[in-house]
Amino acid sequence: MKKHIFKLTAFVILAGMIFTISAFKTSSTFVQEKAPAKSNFEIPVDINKLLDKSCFGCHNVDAQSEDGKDALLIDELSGLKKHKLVAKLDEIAAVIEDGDMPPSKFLKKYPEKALTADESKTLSEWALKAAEGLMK
Amino acid sequence: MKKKLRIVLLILIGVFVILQIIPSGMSGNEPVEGEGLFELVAVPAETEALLRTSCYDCHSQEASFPWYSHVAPVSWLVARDINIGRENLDFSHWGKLSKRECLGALNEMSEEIENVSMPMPIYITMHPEADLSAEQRETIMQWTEDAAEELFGGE
Repeated sequence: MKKHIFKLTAFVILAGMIFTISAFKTSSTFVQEKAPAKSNFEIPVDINKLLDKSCFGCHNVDAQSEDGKDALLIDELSGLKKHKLVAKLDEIAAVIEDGDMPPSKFLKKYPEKALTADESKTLSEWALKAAEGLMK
Repeated sequence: MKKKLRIVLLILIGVFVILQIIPSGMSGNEPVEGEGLFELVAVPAETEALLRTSCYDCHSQEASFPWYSHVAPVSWLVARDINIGRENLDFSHWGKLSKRECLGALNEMSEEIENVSMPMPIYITMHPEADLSAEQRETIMQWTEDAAEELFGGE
């Protein structure tokens, strides 16, 4: 009888240890997957849709427009140092608020790329808020 | 024939004189003590010299006005460039900018210098000493990076 109790206790302790180690492994994997590689900066899905519609065409690393690439690379925003990112986000907000972007010449050719008043507001407010968050 | 030439010449001189009456819109220098970049930020001597030589005529309240800048129509062009320059960035009023605006100004400065958009080609034509070599551009860009990082409190 004593032998049985001993075996049972040993089994419970062993099972407990295996469970603890596996749980620890799982949780550490989870942390690694969640941790961003370069920066904490992430663009929300709804904002990404607007950027994709009206900005990304000229402001990505493979774009044809040299001026567009010089001014802003959306796909490289998350790799920027924080002070550069603040400046870029403020610049995005300013050009959208002033109605300078997308350029009117571009919109004549692609009217479907225009931002509505609401979309402009959403985009510039997001940029200002994101910059504000980085300044804290 | 000679008479006709004389009349044309007189008309041209007349037009030139009348042009001088039209105001250029040139603003004078109005520095505010304690607000200038070099009064507020420790800028390396080499960078300060470069900024003074290549940027200060349009981006500060320390513009120098050569004689031709008072003669129309050149005066109109100079006035326009100085007014726009100061509107975009005025080193003499650096103290008026918020920390965030300073970051924006430093970033824009760095981009304009890197893209060789500044100093403007027409300014370099009249002031060849304002032209910046690749090394001098790098010096200014490095300073903007250092100044922005310091403002941000290190990263």
